Amino acid sequence: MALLEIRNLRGGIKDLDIINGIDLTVNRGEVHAIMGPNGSGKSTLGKILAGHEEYAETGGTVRFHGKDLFELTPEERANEGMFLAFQYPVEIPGVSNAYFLRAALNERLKYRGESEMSAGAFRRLMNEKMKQVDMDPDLARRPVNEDFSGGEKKRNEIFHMAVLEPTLSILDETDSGLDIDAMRIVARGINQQRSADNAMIVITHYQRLLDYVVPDYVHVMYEGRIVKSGEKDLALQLEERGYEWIREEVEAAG
Amino acid sequence: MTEAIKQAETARYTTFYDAFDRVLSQDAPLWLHRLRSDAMAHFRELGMPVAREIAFPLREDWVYTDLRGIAETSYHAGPVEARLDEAALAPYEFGQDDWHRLVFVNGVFSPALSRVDGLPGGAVVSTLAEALVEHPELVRPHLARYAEFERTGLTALNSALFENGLFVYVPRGGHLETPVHVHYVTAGHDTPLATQPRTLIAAGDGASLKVVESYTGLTEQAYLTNAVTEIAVGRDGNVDHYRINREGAGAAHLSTTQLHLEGNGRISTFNMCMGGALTRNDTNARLDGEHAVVRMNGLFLVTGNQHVDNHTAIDHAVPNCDSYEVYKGILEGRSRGVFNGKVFVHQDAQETDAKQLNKNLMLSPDAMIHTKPQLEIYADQVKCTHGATVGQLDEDQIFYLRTRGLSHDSACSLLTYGFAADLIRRLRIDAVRSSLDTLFETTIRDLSLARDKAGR
Repeated sequence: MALLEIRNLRGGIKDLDIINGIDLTVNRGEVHAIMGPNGSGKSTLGKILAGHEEYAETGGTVRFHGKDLFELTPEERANEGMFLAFQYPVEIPGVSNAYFLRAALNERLKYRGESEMSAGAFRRLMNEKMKQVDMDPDLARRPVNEDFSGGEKKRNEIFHMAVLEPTLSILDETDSGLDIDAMRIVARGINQQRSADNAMIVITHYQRLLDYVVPDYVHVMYEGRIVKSGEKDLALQLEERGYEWIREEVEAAG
Repeated sequence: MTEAIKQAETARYTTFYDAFDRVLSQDAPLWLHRLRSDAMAHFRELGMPVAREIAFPLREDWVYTDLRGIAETSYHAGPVEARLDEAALAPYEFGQDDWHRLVFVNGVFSPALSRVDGLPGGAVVSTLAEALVEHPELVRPHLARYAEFERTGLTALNSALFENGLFVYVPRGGHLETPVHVHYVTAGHDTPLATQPRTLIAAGDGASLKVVESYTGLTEQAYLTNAVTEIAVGRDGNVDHYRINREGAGAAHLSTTQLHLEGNGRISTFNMCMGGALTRNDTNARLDGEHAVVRMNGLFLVTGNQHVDNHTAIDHAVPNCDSYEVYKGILEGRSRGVFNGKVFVHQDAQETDAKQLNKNLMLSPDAMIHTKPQLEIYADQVKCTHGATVGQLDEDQIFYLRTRGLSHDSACSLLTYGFAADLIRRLRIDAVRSSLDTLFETTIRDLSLARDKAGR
């Protein structure tokens, strides 16, 4: 069974369809990159999958672990193993990263009918994951994302991902706003999480992240559809030639 | 005003007048008798500040808080003995056995529940009644010197009738490292009880001390606490002060806290309110020496029909002083909140740095807050900022937390807790910080459970 199966998905914001019929199958162990020009619907796809209330599907089906995704609330999706890394991570004043992650982990354990994690076990897990993603321990004590730099916020998303161990991670423009050093650190963190058991959808405008997080498949979105799919060399082609030729191809196909 | 109305009003406060006669018949130094008589004369003149009966401009400060019901209640005015077990107080303690602790139950000092030991040389931590006998020379220069009773009936009433409270004095250069916890407890009585707790704290030049004032109700009955606290800090002195209101569900809590700072003095005060049916706090600071710094923070959480009104006033009387003020409110149910923050920068007070922020989180469509920052600046070289926000929980924050697996309710609870914790984590006494942190965490979680039960 595929981890995620999207069939003819349509949807968007209010009455406006931004996604106009997407088919995509993601299996465990795979990394899919979704590229495309601004406004092509990449981020909307991520928000619909994660269950943002302002976005809605208007047609098609999505099955996640074989379950109808649209029957699940955002938190149920998360507790089933979905993770959305935000393009603009949200600040939560007054709540430390560690406190928040413990609450999130315990909700997940409760969802799965398991008992809560002890303070000691949680501390050990935090320390291990902080090392994995090269995170300053001070950031775990500070309120979630508050007064974090752009790079720290993105790294924090990867830290959350490392702690929650999702089966499907959707990384929405995780490379945006990062300088090359910050991107390398974030990419290393992402690669640490790759395994045969989980999958990732990497949404990005630029190819450069894909130099570090090498995808198995690359899809190009245009006007709410996947108009071209290929392997990692497709990303290189896009880097060289831009998106203009995609537009021409689509328009030529009518 | 007609004679008839005037008479009706005078009749109103009969039990207070009777209590005054009783207090005046007690043995006390002449200066204290004079002070009380003077204060009582002002109370007879002013009465309680019932909005529609007082004249502009004082009325402005009372438009949203109506004391009519309190003015018309015939209280048992004065202390009443009540027995209390140590265990009853445990939930309201901060878990520290080594702290100095003074407990008053229904206005009566309880030696059995109190302890003071290991004070630094020259320092005094005692009841005000004892200090008036043992150390009048330390009390007299400060008592009623900062909290003026000429203009406010409630301060006048307390000054006329107070019988006891906390007295702390730390002489020049002394450091009282161990916090003092004064616990004013109301355990109830067969008629509504009115107590007049009086707290006087004086830190000499370069002295430092920490005081926690708790007001706790162990009864659901109606009662009145009319408290006055005066805190004076000398040059280079440092006072860390906390006010914790966990009054009973039927309580009216009226308070004035008056802070006086001399050059380079520091006072940091934190005002937490969760209890009481009606609460009105007036917290005022006067920065009277250059380079003094006052931090005045407040946090309240109210539900049901609770009403809480925080009026603050900071007087920058001289140049080069700083004031930092953050007040936050969480309102649920049909609760009402008021924030009025005045900052006066006098003409000579150049290089003043005054920051004020008031943030309110509305958890219910039926809750209401009136917020009014009020800056009056008569100097031209100053940095003054203020801001007030009234809002609900942020949808983007809720969604972010849900994508990490928190339910909608847990996300709301966590954000509400974060709103409060943002202030709590700045508290400097570990035991107070962690105890209030837990208090807010559990109270907010219970609110959410109650909402759940009510079938959201």
